[in-house]
Amino acid sequence: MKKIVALIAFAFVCSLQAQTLHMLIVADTADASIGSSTLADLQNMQNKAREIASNSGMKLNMKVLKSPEFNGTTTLAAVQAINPGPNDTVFFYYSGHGYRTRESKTKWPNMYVKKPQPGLEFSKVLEILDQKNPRLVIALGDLCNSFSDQSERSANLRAFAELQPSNYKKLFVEFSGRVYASGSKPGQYSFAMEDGGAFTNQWLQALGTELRAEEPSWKRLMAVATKPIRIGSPDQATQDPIFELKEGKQVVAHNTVDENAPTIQPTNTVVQQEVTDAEEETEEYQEDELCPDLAELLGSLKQLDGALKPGIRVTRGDNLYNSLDTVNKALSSVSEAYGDPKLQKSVTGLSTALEANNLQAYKKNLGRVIQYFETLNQDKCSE
Amino acid sequence: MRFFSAAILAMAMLNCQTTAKGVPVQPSAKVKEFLGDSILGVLSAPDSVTAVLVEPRGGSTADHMDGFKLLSKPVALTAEQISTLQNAIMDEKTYDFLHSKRHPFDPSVGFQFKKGKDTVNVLVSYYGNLWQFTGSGKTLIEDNDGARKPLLNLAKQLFPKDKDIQSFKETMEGQ
Repeated sequence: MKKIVALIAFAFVCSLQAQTLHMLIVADTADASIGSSTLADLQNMQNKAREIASNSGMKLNMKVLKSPEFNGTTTLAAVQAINPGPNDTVFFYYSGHGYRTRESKTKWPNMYVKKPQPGLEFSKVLEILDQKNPRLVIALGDLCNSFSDQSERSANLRAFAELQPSNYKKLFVEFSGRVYASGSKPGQYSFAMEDGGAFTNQWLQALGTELRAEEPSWKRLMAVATKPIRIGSPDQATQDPIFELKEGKQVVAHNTVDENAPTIQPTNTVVQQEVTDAEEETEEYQEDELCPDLAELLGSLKQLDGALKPGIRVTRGDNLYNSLDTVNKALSSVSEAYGDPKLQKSVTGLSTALEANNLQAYKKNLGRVIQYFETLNQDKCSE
Repeated sequence: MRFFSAAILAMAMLNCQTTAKGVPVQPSAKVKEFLGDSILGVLSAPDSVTAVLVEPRGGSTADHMDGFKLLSKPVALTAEQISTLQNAIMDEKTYDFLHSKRHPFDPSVGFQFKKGKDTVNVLVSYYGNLWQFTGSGKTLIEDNDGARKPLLNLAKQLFPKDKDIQSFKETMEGQ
């Protein structure tokens, strides 16, 4: 009996060792605007693949497709050439330009490949890989999901925790399912940083955290990896990655646009909550910063008061109106944070006066606001 | 910290804008560094500026601007329209030098600045809020999110009958 158990155990170990990680990395490294960033992604992902394979005991079968060989024909051919066993892991990764069109039927973007046609659908790659029916498919795309047509023309890294070698196996060998993600939601850009794509870097960091966790989880990994990324670009404050995760070998419904697709929305909701909490933490005011900031604010307010000389006119939509509106919004944030009705009343007065294009009333309320902060300055900052 | 910083920033913005009112925007050091003297020389004092519609997907033929097929005849810009375009080009707030989008370059309008024998082409993508400057043997690409509104208004004025141009919105969908 013991021999039989030992034989079964031996066979199990052998089957684990025989598993292969089929890694396909596709990167548009020659692009003038993002080439250096995608090259960083390529190197980061190559290193990560080696690390995953060596730590999980999987054999690594890695193919890298970069410029000048990279195009739609070669990408599709490389995807089709992957020949996984039923117990293997397939990992497809794309770093480059992307877009969507009004005709896009899925939430996933198109990869911007120049030959034979401009776009190769990310969902097409998912479909091909899914049909090969390996144990696990991971497909990540760090690319834009912004529109490129009109309708009518054609986690914090646990720095002190140790990497758990067994976690590589738990995530990449023992898990069976589908993990799909792209760098941004429909309509959004994905951004390239000097050290790689914003989404790729966040995903790698989330992976690092799970590799140190007591019990690694794809669900948690993807939830953290797809948290909104603060970009601070003028017209896009955040980049919001999207993902689908399915445990088991069921086909994932990825061929419909968001509303009906069985996505992991509850998880994303939880993630959103976590972000809100984090934001609240960073908004706690540091007392030692109060006085210098207060002095600067007072100086600016007085400067503004001096600039609003009699005779100046303001009209809704002009530069002065827009600027004063920005000031009002900023002061509203301050008054809300302080919660003092006296300040709130004066700030509301500023907004009312501006809406009425009444600079005289605006100056009157501005004087009250200045007086409020002067009193605060005396109370908190005088020796 | 964040609240006061926001207020202070707003004050700074106000001061900048009132100072600059009525005076043409001068390029900042960053804009100068990005475009370079030779391109800036043409852009800041052109003899003429014209605009054409181009095919966003490229389709280079005999009639093209930097590889993008021409879809219209050139339209001459008025002095006021040239000024609008120049202000957008010179204003550092137009650009985002910190980030690069992973959106393909798909321009809809091309502007051609001519000064003597020199030419600078400025192709504008309204899908990706990007623009490309070509001149003096250089091709430069950057974001132009900060000037989407004036650039879009300009294109709508210049091509009032073009459905695609007219259907662009001031705010990008999904953002």
